[in-house]
Amino acid sequence: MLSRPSRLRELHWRRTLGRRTIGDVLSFMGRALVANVRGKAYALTAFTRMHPAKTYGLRLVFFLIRLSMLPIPFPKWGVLGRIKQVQLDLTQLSFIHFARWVIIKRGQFPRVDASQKEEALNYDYLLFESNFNGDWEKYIDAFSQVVPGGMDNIWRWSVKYPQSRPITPFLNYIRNCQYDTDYYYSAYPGASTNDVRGALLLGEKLEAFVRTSAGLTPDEFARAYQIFTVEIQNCLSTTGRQSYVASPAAQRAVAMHA
Amino acid sequence: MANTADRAYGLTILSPIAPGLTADGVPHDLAIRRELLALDTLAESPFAEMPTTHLARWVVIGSLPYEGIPAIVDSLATKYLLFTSNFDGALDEYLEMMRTRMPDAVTRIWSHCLAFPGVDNRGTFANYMKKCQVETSFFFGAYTKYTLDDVLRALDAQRRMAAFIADHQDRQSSPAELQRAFGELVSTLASAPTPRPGTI
Repeated sequence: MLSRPSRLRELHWRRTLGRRTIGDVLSFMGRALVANVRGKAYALTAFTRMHPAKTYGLRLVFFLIRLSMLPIPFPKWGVLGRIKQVQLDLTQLSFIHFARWVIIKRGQFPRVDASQKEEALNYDYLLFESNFNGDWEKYIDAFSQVVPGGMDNIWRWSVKYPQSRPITPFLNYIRNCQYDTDYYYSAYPGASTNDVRGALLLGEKLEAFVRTSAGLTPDEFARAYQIFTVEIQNCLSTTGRQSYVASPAAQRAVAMHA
Repeated sequence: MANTADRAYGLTILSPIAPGLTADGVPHDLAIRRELLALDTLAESPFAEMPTTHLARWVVIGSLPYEGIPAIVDSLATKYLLFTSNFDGALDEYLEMMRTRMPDAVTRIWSHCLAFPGVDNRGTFANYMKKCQVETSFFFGAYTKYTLDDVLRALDAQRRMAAFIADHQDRQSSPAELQRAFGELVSTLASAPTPRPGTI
């Protein structure tokens, strides 16, 4: 005989799994973990539900975030100043290529044909999509450590959001809301966000060096070059497929297919 | 506009998947997954033909998450195909590029969606995609001021520069030799073609 909490948990899983299609289950069991990864990038897709009345609160948060992005020196103690700081912290994390939040009202799911059944949903939904580097858990952990307030302000409107700290309930919450990616493409799979930012910065510094080093004697050039290489050392990194192929056997396999 | 950040556009499309089975007796959502499984994800990806796509994904949404009591279970009447893309430039140009540069992949995948009009007509294709588009509420990118071309060229230059530095450190080149080789590197970088997407 199951205890009451265990029985509730079992019922919950039966209901949840009962709504999954064979495709969902195959996706979960088979290639899902690989499909979320493309080289150094990881695709996170999550839907969380919100009570329709609370959606307006989140819209206000996004409005304030956009307002804080205006090139105005907002005082740090004010709401907009604090939001701006959260954004700077987010940028400092340096592992997000692109991310987006999409509020989908319960009546806003696209209906393209009269034959399509109308949705009768109880909640609005928040879609979160992120392209980042590294492990899933580390990403969420870093997010919750560096910008806990920012995370909470965005997800506090979602049903049963546990707050970003402590981390374990938060990880469980995201796991439950996450969808595995069926196809993921990156135009530069071997490059992390920092690799890209470093490369773009290197381009600017290289251009400046080419300009300033024109007309120098060889000895002067060699000295300037030494200083230049020290300046750009943080802009250099290892990119490409080989950089994340770990074992010699895997490297041989890649070479055979190249 | 919330879909854009500097030069980047965050496209979010939710297309209703056709109910029932395909002619082969397979549910349409599973048929989409099989089509997606067959697509290359690197340099032979259909997106490699679209020189403005940084990152893109397809996700089949079969059901909505349930967090447990006291929330009420929400069941979707229709399954959806989520398509998101992060690209440079304007939406109309991008949709036209999808229609003309990756027509086979688009047709194979979206033909399992309700009321998909095909890729023959520019207007009906764009209208369908826009009908399925959901407005992004907040879009964020780490290097949205740069195009894909800028990024690929910069990564290529970074790789060549790192190799150049390592090479000349090993060789202990003389100042004159170093200056000459550096001039050659700069010329090479200026004339090098943009690497094909998916190769770095």
